[in-house]
Amino acid sequence: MSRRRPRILAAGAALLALGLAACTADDADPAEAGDPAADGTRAVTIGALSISETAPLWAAVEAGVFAEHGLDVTVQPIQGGAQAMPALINGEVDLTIGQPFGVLRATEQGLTVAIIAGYAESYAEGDDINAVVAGAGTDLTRPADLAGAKVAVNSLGAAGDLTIRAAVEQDGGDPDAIEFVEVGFPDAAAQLEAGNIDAAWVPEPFVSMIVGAGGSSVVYPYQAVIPGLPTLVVQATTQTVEQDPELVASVREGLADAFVWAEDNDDAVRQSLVDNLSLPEEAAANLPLPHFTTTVDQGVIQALADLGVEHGYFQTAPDVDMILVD
Amino acid sequence: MTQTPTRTPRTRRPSLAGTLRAVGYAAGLPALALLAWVLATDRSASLYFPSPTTIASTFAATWFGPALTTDVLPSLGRFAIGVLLSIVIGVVAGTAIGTTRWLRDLLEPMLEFFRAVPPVVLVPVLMLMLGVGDSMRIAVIVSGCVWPVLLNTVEGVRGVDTVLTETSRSYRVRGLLSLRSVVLPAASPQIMAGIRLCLSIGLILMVISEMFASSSGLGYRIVYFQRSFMIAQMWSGIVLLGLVGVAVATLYGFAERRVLHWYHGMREVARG
Repeated sequence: MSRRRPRILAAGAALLALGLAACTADDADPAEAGDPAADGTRAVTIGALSISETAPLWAAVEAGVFAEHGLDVTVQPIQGGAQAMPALINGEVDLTIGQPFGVLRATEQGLTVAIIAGYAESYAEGDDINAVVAGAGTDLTRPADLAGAKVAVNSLGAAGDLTIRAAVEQDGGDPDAIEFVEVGFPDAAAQLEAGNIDAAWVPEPFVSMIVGAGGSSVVYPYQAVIPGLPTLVVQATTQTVEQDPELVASVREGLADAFVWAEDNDDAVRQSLVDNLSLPEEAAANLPLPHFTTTVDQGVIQALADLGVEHGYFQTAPDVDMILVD
Repeated sequence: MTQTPTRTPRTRRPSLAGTLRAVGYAAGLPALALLAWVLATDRSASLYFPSPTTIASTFAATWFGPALTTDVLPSLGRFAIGVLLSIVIGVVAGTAIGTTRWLRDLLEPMLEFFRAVPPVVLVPVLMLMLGVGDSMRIAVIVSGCVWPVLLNTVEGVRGVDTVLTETSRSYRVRGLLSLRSVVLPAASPQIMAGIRLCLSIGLILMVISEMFASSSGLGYRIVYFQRSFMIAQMWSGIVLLGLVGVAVATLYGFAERRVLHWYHGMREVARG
């Protein structure tokens, strides 16, 4: 009995390998992005995270803002930037909304993706939309104090821990002394309270929740290091950019209009938070939202790329001129 | 089962042809599959399906550097501790429950309940109770691995042949001596089957436990590579997990042959 086991395992592994090999056969031709329909409107699928930042997109689609630009937009929920990348590459979604750092990382690894427009950015001054917050019992007050502390970020090797490292270094602390640990945003408050971590990097509404419960804001890492750093950008494959400039242009115009419309229709945006994320109405009304804009400052993306190289996140410097298309 | 466990001093010397055939059988299908994989991915430019040669060349660089001490060994250590704890807890508690009727009646419904709870959903709770360190990860492994050992031990101990127990009792073999020389050996085929299940569950939970609140470990690394679009490295991690699985199964095979030597011998005799 026992002598057979390795053989069975090997057979299983072989079958798995065969199955995987078979998978490669049909990922060659990506589906054509948004074929024109009879009435001239084009179907476009945009992958977006189910987070509060997506609210203006949901609301504008429902209000028909994109229809004026000949676009029939479907918002496809995605799990995360990296998880959405295969869907973007094989054409399941035409565009995705994700972190700019993810695009830099993807191009470094040879994926041909580009940033076609901005989406949301952090605030260059005042209260920012994400912060490193400390639990009630800690005496962490400034970035340098984070050296030697256990700091949670939602995913390591991204803009969160990169900007925290830079902020600590800027303040005279040793970034290598920070002990990072991955904790999902919704779990951070409980972990802080239990004392398992000293501080956590979280976006709104968790910043307000934790500070309201007796915690304190230590630093706005984006604002401290790269003021106005975009939190989300619109991404497409370079293939789409080259072969379908019309689509790119109309999405850009439609989105710009959507943001103008969203500013005048804050109630509709707040309502879409209630409808899509099941937020309580009161929470939706008070939730701080980032600044929505389709313009991207090339200098800011370049600064992010340079910072990544400086801290060893990238082996080769990303070519921002190639990544950012207008 | 009217025989007492006996040791059969049989050793078989395998012939050269037999050995060659065994190797051919074991390696044939993997080699074919690998060949098919190479051919299928040879001209593929897809980043998500790198060829095995690319994966092989990243394998050493990825896992035999500092990652060996920061990721691989700590993971395997937690796996080993988790599995050993599960075996000890499972066998001790299982023997107690299996030999004591009232304890069994008391606990059985509750055991079935806890066994059905997937350990993955316990992770956030364990994180709050045990923090975000090694103890939480080991607890996740134990919370899933202990059940097959425990329940199989209960069944094995309870199912000991009554002729065997009554005969040994009439010879005044009682207490610890009876446990060590009669009950546990008689239950060992069932216990070993439980341990085999425990090993494969443990490997899965080792990976899962590192996907939460983590910054090192084999499971964490694989997710990190996936997120960073380092696809060849990610595949090399999956290959490494598979190899660990084969190694664990081989070790188990050795252990089982030692522990259940009498049992296999007896079955061969019974088959004639």
